[in-house]
Amino acid sequence: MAEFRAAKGDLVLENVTKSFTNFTAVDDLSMTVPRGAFFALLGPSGCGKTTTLRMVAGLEQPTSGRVLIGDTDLTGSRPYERPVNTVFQSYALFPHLTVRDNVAFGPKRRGAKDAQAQADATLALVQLTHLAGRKPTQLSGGQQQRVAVARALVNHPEVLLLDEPLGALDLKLRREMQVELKRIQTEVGLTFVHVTHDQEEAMTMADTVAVMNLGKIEQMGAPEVLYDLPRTKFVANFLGQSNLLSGHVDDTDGEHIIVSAAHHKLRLRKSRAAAGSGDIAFGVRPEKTRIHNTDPGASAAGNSIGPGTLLDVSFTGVATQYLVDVPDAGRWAVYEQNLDLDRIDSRPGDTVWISWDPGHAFGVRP
Amino acid sequence: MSALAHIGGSPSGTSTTAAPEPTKRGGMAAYLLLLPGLIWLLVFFVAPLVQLATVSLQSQFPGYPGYYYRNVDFGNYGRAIVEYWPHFVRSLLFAGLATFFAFVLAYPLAYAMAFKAGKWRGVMMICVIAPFFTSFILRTIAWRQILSDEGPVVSVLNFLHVLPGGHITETWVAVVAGLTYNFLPFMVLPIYASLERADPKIIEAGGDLYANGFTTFRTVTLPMSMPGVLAGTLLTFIPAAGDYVNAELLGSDISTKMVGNGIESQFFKVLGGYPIAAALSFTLMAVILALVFLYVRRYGTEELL
Amino acid sequence: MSTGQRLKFWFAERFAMIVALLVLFYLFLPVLYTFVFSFNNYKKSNISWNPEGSPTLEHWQNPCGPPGLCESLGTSIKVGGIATLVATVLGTMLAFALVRHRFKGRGAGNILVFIPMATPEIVLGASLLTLFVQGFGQYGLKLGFWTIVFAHIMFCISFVVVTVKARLQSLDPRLEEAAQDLYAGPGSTFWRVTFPLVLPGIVSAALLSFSLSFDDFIITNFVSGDTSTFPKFVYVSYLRGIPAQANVIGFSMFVIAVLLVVVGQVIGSRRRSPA
Repeated sequence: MAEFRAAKGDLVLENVTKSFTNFTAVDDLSMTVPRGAFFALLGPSGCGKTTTLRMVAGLEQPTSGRVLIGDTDLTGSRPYERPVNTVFQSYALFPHLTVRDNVAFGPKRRGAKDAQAQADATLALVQLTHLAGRKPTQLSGGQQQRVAVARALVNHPEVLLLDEPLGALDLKLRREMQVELKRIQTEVGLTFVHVTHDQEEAMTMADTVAVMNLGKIEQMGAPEVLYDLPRTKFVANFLGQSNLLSGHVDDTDGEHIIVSAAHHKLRLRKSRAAAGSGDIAFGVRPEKTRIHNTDPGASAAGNSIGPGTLLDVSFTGVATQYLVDVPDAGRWAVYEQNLDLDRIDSRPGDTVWISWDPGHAFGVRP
Repeated sequence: MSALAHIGGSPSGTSTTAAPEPTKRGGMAAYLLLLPGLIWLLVFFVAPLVQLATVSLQSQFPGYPGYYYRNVDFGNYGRAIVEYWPHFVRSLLFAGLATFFAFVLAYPLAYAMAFKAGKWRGVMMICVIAPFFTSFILRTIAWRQILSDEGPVVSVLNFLHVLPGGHITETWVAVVAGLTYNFLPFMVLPIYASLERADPKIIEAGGDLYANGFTTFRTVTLPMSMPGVLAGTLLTFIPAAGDYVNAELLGSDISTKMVGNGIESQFFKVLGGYPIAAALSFTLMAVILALVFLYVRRYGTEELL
Repeated sequence: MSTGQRLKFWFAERFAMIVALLVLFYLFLPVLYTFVFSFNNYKKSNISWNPEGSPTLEHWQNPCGPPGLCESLGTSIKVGGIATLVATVLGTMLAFALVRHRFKGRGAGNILVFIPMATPEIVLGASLLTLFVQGFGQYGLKLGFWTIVFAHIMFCISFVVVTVKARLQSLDPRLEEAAQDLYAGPGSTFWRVTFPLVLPGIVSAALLSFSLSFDDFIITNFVSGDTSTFPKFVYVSYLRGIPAQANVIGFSMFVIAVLLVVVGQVIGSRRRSPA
């Protein structure tokens, strides 16, 4: 698809704040979305991600701060003046127009003579040529979604915004559309900014994920980096799940710091800790831990916790999930793949220990 | 288990960004849009009411019937009420009865249109509205023929010996029947509109919970259609209370006359009747607005506005 | 299941529909009477059936026979047309202002639009009469065609506002945002998206206006002076002897209206179906 323009610059938000009468939706947010990236804004509802998107689209104006693409300042311009298009939540297809006319709407407004031909070409890209004459209400949810994508893409925007585009679809269709959107993005090479509350969706599709909470970006990076090394408690719990334990830094030992928490001394690599001293929350992912019927002993000193009482065991096929109550350390989750031939045979009520590879532990701000 | 429930799943609760408020602030555009319509309403609704109010306080020029002078004579109201209080009672009573019967007839029709009609919905809708186009005067005259002493209804009832007095026209029964008939569509349409918006799944769920059809209706269906019922009763009661055509065409000379007949005859048949007629009109409007206000307060909804 | 039970179930399933059909029959019964009596070979007034010489096609062959009948019909159609046009335009503008703009006195505006609907027609008619006679009379305004039109516009406006407002409020604001996002400025957003989507509401408001105006008698009777509309003609002639041609015209209007609505629906559903 050579006729699509490559993105001309990065999308830049500079100290953007959006205040409504009684609350601040976006609070002094700065970020750069590299051109051609598939960027996801991830966060719970009300975190300000949709407001951020609407400010990029021009549907809201920031209270302060600037929105730029490359060197062009877009702040204050109207939505129809921006080289930005949006795939709306629940699509907002024009019900009185056919699919083809919906897609041709943008090119026509810009006075393109071949608007219909452009529309047909884009409909081919999303594989909907055969439905061009229909009205949106006669399409399934997945088809409507693809029309919405085509209607935005046909304009070759510098940045394509997607506002919870898959939220209205069922799980199976959602997986299909994730792959489809990824394919389209690769094919057209545009900057995609995708707003979602679904962490799995964000991680599968995006090159870069920004996790938002309470109007601020908590952490931004590649999905695998965010997952492996969360920097805040919020990210540790919002992306997947974490066992977290509050403590404080007691000592250092070469490359490691020693965290004292719940009568344990836990070892943590300096490079994986958000702070080198003072209070810290020690964390480890449930699937990075193992469960033991006996004390793993001195060899695992600093990389284990116990004894605790097994509360619950649930077998899910590929894995077994354990829930352990560790005195003063709360409930810990352990997620073990069923690889061993001689599985540990534990029942609720048993006394167990939990251990992990020290390279997997992380420390976040408390 | 709550900790484990998190693994691999997304946090519950979808993002519910409220639909953006489209309201624009003030500006010339708003006033330009408003002005022509509001001026029209001021000139042809508010000004006439003011004029009517002044007329209701005017006095007759002694010795010159049909001529009035400007005055503040509240006595017109006293005279109007003394002379016409039975008409008031009948107006409210007949309109109340007609509203009740219209509700009883309209609800099943609206319900069937909303939930049972399927593709016949449009056809039934046309059927409800279409009779409007045969002038309502003609249809009321047709009722006079249907209910006349030689007509089928009276013949059957008399054959069964269940009709005291032997006829229906010229009685209050005919007037109430006519009012019920004429304003029925105004009851059907709002109820239908509110039922159509209701989700049939909720009613099914109600059916599952209560199993009993009537309980489901009383606890689920009826409350959901309350805005429609409210609008429908108002749209039926108000015109019915002010009507005089049904009493004129179906009722008797005296004992079934309503306030509307009084106003009409004071305006057109009594020389110098303007002040009394105006006082009657104002009293009627005040009574109805008061009833509407109490009713909306009691079963209230702002949706009407 | 016993036959009795089965019968009971069958009735319970269809109870609402059976009652609904009976109510529809009740609504149509007078229309049927009007139709039947259009063939009546009556003597003085077309009230009771005269078996001699009936049914007759005489009245259908000469619908404009009675003096003033077709003239009154023409007046009704003209009044309805003008009142509908003006009320639809003014009411639609009001609805847009009330839904789309926030301004001082918005609440008062809503109430001013609502109260005419909560006022009995006889009060509207009486108050207009006093204004036209005592207020505007001195400036040379005579009761007649235009006073009817003015009055009809007034009471139609409120119904137009309510109908269009409902449609506007149910309009998804994201559609207009989508249009803006797709390079449509304010003007083209309005004409390409907002207006076509609100149009069905405006059309039903216009139809409602016309039927209210066409069928109005009470207000018209107060403000019409010597001018006669179709309902007024029928009412007045009822007292002197009603001609069967009134039935012919009343029933024809009914048939024409139904045909127009049916044709409209068929065209509407054609447009909606796949090309």
